[in-house]
Amino acid sequence: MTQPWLQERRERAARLNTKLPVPTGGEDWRRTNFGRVDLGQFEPLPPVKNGADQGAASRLLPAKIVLAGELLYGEQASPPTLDPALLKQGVWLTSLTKACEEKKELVGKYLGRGLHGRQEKFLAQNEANWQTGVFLYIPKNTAVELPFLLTSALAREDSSCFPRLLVVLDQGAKATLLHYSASTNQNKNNFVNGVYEVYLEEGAELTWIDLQNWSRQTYEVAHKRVEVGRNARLKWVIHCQGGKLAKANIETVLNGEGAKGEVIGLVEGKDRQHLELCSLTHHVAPHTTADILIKSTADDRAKIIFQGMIKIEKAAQQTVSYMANHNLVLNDKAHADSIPRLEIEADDVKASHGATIGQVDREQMFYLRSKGLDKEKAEALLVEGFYEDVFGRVPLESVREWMRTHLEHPGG
Amino acid sequence: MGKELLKIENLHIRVEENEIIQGLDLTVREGEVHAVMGPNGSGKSTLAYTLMGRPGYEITKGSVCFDGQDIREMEPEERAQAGLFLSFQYPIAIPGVTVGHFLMTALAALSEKGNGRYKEIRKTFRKDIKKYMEGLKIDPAFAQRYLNDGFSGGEKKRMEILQLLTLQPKLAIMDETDSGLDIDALKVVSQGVSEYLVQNPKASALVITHYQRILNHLKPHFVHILSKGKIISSGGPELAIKLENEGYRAFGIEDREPGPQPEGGIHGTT
Repeated sequence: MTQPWLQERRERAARLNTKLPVPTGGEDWRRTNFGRVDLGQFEPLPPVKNGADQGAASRLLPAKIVLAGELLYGEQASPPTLDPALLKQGVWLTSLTKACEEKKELVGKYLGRGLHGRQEKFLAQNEANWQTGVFLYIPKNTAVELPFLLTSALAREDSSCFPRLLVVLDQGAKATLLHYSASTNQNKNNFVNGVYEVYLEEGAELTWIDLQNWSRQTYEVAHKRVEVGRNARLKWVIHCQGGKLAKANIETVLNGEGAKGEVIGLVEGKDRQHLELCSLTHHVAPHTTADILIKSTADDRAKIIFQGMIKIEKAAQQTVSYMANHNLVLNDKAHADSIPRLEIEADDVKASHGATIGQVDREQMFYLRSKGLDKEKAEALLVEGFYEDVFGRVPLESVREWMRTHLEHPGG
Repeated sequence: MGKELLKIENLHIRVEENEIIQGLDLTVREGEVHAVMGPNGSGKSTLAYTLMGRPGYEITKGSVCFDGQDIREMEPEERAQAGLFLSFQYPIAIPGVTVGHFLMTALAALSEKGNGRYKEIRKTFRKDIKKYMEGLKIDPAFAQRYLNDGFSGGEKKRMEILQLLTLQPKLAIMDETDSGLDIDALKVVSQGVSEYLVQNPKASALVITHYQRILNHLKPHFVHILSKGKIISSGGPELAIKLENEGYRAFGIEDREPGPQPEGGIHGTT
């Protein structure tokens, strides 16, 4: 049974969704055009059933990891698996629907908090329609050593899926979150519009490893927003490789004094994929720091777009913000775009950005080939080397190794 | 006499619009060490790059046979797989790829082409590479460093020799391996090349150099003097001694001051 407060929100969002057209213009949307996608062809997922068993989330993950807890959502949901000791300490890991009923106050406080008032089509569409979601809450001063795994999976086709994630780390809490989105069938045509919200209260520390592996037939719009409170720390690893036409909006909001955010991303485009990563680093409070490094490769006829904005509010003095985006174009028919921007209101800050778009170096190619590597192997080695500094900063070894071997054997 | 390993006849090479090599003949047999000496701009590096199949180095005339195969149309990796090796004058940095990983990848690539001896080499790879590094006075930590990235000139040259020892080709082309090395480093590097030759009695080396000093360590069986894209004189080790004592002028060659070679120009700008 839907809660009245939630129902009211959904209705409001549904009205906004009907009113707003699919955005096709402006700096934000003109490079990735969903206007040419017939969204009507996708049937919304039926209400999600608890069809999967415990452990389904980790079975889908292509890496072996010892976990503190896990949950599958998406087309099917699993009951949560959670270390009983953590349950006792007040950790919550449940479906978002259940949390809306049982943790009404807490969920009501955070859900949509940083997104209210935005006139955005896809946000409204998700708010009105989300059918599946997860709530993860780590109480005050609770440090969870092992990672949590949330897997969002789709198997059917011609469906639209609206996942919703809410993660809250209360004051002084520590956790690692592994989030994996995947199609279990590579040929299925779907539309996914997900909204993922993370709130880090004072002194909280989160490592979020975010792996996106939708099929290359998937259309995706994602809004991912992390609010980093006073002296809180975020380390966010993003790996984007799925999707036919996909746009991920990621926001790192440094909301409290002394907040720190580090975002490391890897975007791999192949075939005819069109992948856009749109990053906003928003410094709201003083003494905040951010370090963004996104690396991309565009192969075949893929198109990769990075839009990066560093926005520093007037109050955010003594802020240090760095953003780097490097692209390697592996094919004459592939394409990469990098659009970094700065918007700085404060006067006592350090902010800089660097962007490069390059091709495989011919000298390096000849050198490697002269030592016996054929063209493909030499290129693969150079790509591996290109990504190495990103891999080097991935905290979980098994994930790091999976990312590496995945590069060598895609689809594996 | 050993089997003919490399046979070059009437070779002409064009780079961009310039004919750099203008009718070169050279035969290297198994187990032989040949030195090709010449002043800057004589075409030494052009010859080395062309043998390895570098794009942009066009053979306009003549033939090049290696181990019985016409290699003119072969890709660089096919030449490496056939047993050719080039020790670069200016080794290229590959950031993000460790020395160890690169060597394993190269060995795997070479053994994939069905050459049985690479399977043998791979079996003892880890043990051997440690031994080679010790001999070349390379800190073992270098196995985990990115290939040639931030290496000094001497370290890069030693890395080329480490590859030579690991990959064990049939013919090693040493392109100005001595340039930029001090006396001690030159000795270490030369010993490495000698070790490779001792280990592989049928293997040969083509030592390309401006100066005679490396030849004190790597005793060549034959010395060729290259000038303006042609070999103008061939003989035994005595030729190198004559060159050392009397200079290129004794061969009617005007030697400009040592400096960046025109044919290495692409590297010169990096």
